[in-house]
Parts: sequence; structure tokens; C-alpha cells
Amino acid sequence: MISERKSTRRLVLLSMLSACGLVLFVFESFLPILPWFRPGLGNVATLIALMMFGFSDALKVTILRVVLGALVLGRLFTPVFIFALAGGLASVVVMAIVFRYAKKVFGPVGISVLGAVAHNMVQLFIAYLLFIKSAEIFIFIPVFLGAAVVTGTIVGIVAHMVLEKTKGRLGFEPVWQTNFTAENAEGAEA
Amino acid sequence: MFKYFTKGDIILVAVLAVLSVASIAGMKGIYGGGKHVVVEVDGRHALELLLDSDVTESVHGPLGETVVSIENGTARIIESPCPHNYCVRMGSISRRAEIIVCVPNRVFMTIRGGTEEQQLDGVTQ
Repeated sequence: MISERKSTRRLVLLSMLSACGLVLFVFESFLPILPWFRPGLGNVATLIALMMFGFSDALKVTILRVVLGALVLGRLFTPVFIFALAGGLASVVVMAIVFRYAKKVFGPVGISVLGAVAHNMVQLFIAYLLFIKSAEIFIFIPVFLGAAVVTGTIVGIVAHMVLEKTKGRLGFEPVWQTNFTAENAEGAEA
Repeated sequence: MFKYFTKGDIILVAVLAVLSVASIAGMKGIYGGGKHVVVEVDGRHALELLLDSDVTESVHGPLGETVVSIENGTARIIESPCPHNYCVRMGSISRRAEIIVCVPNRVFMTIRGGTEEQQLDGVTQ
């Protein structure tokens, strides 16, 4: 009985995370900022799913967001879709590896910054491989790296805030919780 | 504010930020000079123009014609069939190794140096 409730709860939470990620993803696609520069706010959902439920669920949330986002925006199987999918997958894989092996070193900010770096570098590489084919494009590496640091930090802080606010209310706690309470929640000591 | 960062996070963000800013600054060094505007479509050489000419040319990509214009020593894309026109909004380029890219129409534009000596830092034999 209890496990059944727990699995329903998990299903609901994952659906909500996917929906939130999708909304953020679609929302930011309308922001008229610098060309190519997207904060990647949808990654907040991936990061939370990763920290609460693990890699496979984070992967599902990411794929759902990218595919549904492309459907909503009418971009399925266009270059933009390929970029988003490759970047999203790279980011979730790297974040999962970092989270698995270095959760004592990095908090949400560090994890999402590394995910954002992977996201941007893979997108640049895809652009080189499929579309541009001139090595000059790699002149963008420092710019993309800088952008990843900024967006990764923002995403990490937002995810941290969400985890903090929902602490003890969802029935699921991030696996990283021990570290969270010991080092971060009592920020005054640190 | 700092409660959001672990020590590892701070070091990581600082190192990456410094690396990024330093290499952007470093890359300014390889800019400069440059005489030819090279336009490629889908990785293939499509057009080569002199930077000190005043011309408007178009190249043919998968979506249609992309119009390239050179004026007062700067080159830019003035018209493109792509949906968002990021390439037009990327503005103009005037120095070597600067680039403009239009992913949807597969157009790539850069400025290359005039002679071999200008492009290389040094040659060993």
C-alpha cells in the first residue's frame, strides 16, 4: 500500500517536473536576447529529477522536454531540435557522472555548470560536424564556456532553492540531502 | 548568497570563468589584418571577395539566397531566408578569424589573411 502510494507520488512528481521543464524551455525560446544564448532553464527540472530520483528518471525528463518542446514549437527533427537533443543528452549524462562520483565536492551549482559546459561544447561540435565544417567555428569555445558558467550557475541556484523549499514536503528527498543539511542548510557556519 | 555554493563549486566557477575571459582576451591577438572575405555553403567554398571592395553578392543555400554585403571594410549578411535571422543580427565582421554563421541555410562567412606570413606566427624548417 505504502509503496503503491510512493510510486504514484513519484509518477506525479516526475510528470510535474517534465511539465515545468517544458514550460521553461518553451518560454525561454521566446526571449529575444543574444542569438544562440539561452539560459537553459529547463535544465532545472533535469537537475532536480537527477538529485531526487537518479539518472534514468532525469533522462526521461530531459527527453520528454526536448521532444515535447519541439512538438509545441513545431521544430521536430529540424536542426534546432538536433542541437537541443544532443545538448540535453550530453548535459544529463555529464551531470549524472558528476553527481555519482563527486557529490561531496560539487553542489547543484557545480553539477549544473559542468552539465552546461557539456551541453554547449556538444552543440558546438554538432554545428561543426553537421552544418559548418570549418574549424574556425571553434573560435566560439571561450564564449560558449563563459555562457555555460553563467547559465549553469543560475540553473544550479534555482534548483538549490527549489530543493530547499520543498524539503520534507514531497515524500522524496534528494540523495544529496546529507551533504545538503551538513554543509549548506546551516549556511551561517560556512 | 554563498550558501548556494560548495567550495568545489566556487573553485570550478572561478577557474572556468578565468579560463573563458583569458582566452577571449587572448584571441584578440590572432585577429587583425585579413584581406579576403570567404563564404562557404555546407562546407564548400562558395565565394571569395576582397574586404576593401564595395559589393553585394548572394550565395545559394538549401533554404534559398543569402545576401552578403561588403561596405567600408566590413562584411555582413543583409538578407537571409532562415527563420530567425540570427546571422543578420550577428552584425558585421572586419578582422581576420571573425565569423558569421547561418546554421539553417548552412552559410559560413569568415575573413582570412592576405599572405602566408600574416597568418602564421612562425615557421620552422
